[in-house]
Amino acid sequence: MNATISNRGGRLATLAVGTILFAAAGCGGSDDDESTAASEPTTAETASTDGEALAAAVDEYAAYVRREAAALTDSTAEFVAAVDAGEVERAKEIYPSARVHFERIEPVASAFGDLDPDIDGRAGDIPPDEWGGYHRIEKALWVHGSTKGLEPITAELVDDVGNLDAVANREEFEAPDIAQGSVDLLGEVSASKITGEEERYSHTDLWDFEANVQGAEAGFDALKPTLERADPKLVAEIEKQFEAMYDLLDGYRRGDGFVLYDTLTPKDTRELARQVDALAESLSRVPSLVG
Amino acid sequence: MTNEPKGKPDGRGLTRRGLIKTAGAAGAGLGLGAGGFALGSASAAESDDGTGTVPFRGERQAGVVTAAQDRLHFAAFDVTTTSRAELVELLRAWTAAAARMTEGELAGPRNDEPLLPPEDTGEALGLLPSRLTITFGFGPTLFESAGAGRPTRGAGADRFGLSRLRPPALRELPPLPAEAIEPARSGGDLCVQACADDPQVAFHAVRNLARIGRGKVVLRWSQLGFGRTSTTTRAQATPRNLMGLKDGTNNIRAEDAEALDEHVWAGAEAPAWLRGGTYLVARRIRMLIEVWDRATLSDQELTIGRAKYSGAPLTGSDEFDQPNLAARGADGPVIPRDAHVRLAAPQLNAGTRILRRGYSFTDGFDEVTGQLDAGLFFISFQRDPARFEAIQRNLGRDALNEYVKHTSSAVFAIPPGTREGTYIGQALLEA
Ligand code: HEM
Repeated sequence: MNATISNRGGRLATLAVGTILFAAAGCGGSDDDESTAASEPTTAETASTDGEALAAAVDEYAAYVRREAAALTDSTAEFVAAVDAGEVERAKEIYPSARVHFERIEPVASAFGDLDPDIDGRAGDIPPDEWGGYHRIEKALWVHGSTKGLEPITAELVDDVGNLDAVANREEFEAPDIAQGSVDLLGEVSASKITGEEERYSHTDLWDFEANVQGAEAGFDALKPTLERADPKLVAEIEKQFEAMYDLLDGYRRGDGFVLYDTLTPKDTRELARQVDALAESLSRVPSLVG
Repeated sequence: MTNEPKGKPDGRGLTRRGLIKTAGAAGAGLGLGAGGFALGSASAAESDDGTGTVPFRGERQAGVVTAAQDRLHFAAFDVTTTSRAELVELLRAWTAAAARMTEGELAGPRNDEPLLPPEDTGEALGLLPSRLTITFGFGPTLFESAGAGRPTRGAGADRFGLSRLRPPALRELPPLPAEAIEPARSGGDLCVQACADDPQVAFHAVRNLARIGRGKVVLRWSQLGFGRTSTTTRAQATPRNLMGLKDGTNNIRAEDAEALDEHVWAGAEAPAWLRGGTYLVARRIRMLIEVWDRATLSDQELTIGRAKYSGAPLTGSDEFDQPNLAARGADGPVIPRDAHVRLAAPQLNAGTRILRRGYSFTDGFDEVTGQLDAGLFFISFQRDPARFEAIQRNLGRDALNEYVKHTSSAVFAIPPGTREGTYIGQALLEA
């Protein structure tokens, strides 16, 4: 199957792009869940031709996706264990950081059937009797303060996350999809994080927000060597915008995480939203440069 | 009939149309004479020089199959009076004023009393009729004790004694996908849809009806629409919505009599007072246009299932080619599984079609996001609101949902039209 990390399964394959495949088994992913692609020197940076650079970018991004999927499997197991044990407070504590691994690679889930709505669906978007996943548990924890009756939901969640991990290890990516996935991640921020709708019970939206930005950055970093050749000015612009984005987010950090979203004023959210728009606008130029 | 020139409609000779009265009449050959019914309002004068009028009176209300005008002012009202007699009085007064205004007249006879406010607010003086239509509707809460979420105003369980006449189909929509409904922009006991080719003419109509209603009704919410997003007759060119997409291509048209009977006009299933009428569903759909604007061309086209520039389905080359939902490419269906036109298509909705008649809106600026607060004020007409509901449920998987959010919801029963001497909803109130 010709997979894509954009949220339109198979769609971008209709574009005339050089298909760059990677051998899924070949790249050893680390389990270090804190690493983002930005932190290490990469094979992509040393590649000499565009074709090699793109192939290296695809490898690098695929490894990132596998790392995050593996980390999500672990963090979800920990979260589910707390929920199943009825430890409401502990589950609430783990909840936001368990989810960041999903938020970083959400476009991968969106590309495959119902993985995204099953894991991350929000009340109202899904018929009540089919609603499961993280947000269903979020509501139970924050609104009802109880984990009663959640066993089928937690079991499903573990299954779905396992499926996402399988997808991450099996599927092949294409460079334009990676670029589009980065833009889509910021679209997620604009659509549901900025408004506080994503984490409407826990108000932990800023964790998701940052994770989406990190996921977008991982895609960009993988493609950077190619982009440097095609449009160095654009690379500089995007880097500047990422920096401004993180600077803004830094203002809301508390301890290991963030302040709760309902403490932000409209002026705060406006500022964040506009920075997302500025960043995403420059990133939206990337797909055509790597296709 | 009613778009024929009147001698001295207000007894003073002052009309909005003034000098152009004769010109307006020239395109109005469809009148059937006083007391008769005009044959559906779609065929009314469609002049684009502003002189055209659309008959208010007729078997059906105008503003449904009428060739979609360029501008909209939609208003929902709550009834504050608890007196049925006053409600009747209001509907009589609204009917009379609407009949006048749609002809390009003032809302009421001119007065020259220095110590009285003018009968008409005046901002449409000198403006052309602009094909104004005014369409009235009754919300579910009119049939209840008091509107949902509002304090009871001393009325009994059934304030106007109408509950036995309430069609079961007339109810607020349940929670649906892709929405974050703001109650303050939703619902309402009565609605007024004013459409015209001149925005001030549409505004004037709502303003004067609100004024006539003071003391009996209060405005609950209102929405301006600045550009049509549909076509409702064969002759009209397809406009574009704010996503830059041709919208209305596969709509039901005034000429599709069979489709209208099957999908739009309420039939024997409806109570007698509503038969021949329809139901209006209104949804304020906010577009996340900043997000849309950075989606690639290919992504935009795959989201909707049609080509951006030509409007042709991805399986065809002409705008009016029918989408081929079965066509497959190397990677699956050519029109993707989550494309809007696939999920909205009759083939995926048990054959259901609806008549869309929405408008682009902007309400300025969203203070939470700093983004343009703009989108599509979606209006559809169907013989049962459950049909809209079913399609919207199917759109739960719509790729478009990444870019849109429904922020209001309202449902109104649109009774059939009036003839000279009758008032809107008379069959309901005198049943
Ligand atoms: C902002 C939101 C929306 C946008 C931008 C939009 C846009 C479009 C466009 C561009 C088309 C293709 C051209 C055409 O046939 O008119 C279309 C078709 C259609 N849309 Fe929408 N639409 C929106 C919301 C809705 C909603 C809420 C419904 C109903 C629940 C709906 C029902 C339909 C139907 C029935 C068709 C015709 C499908 C066919 O038979 O081919 N749309 N829409």
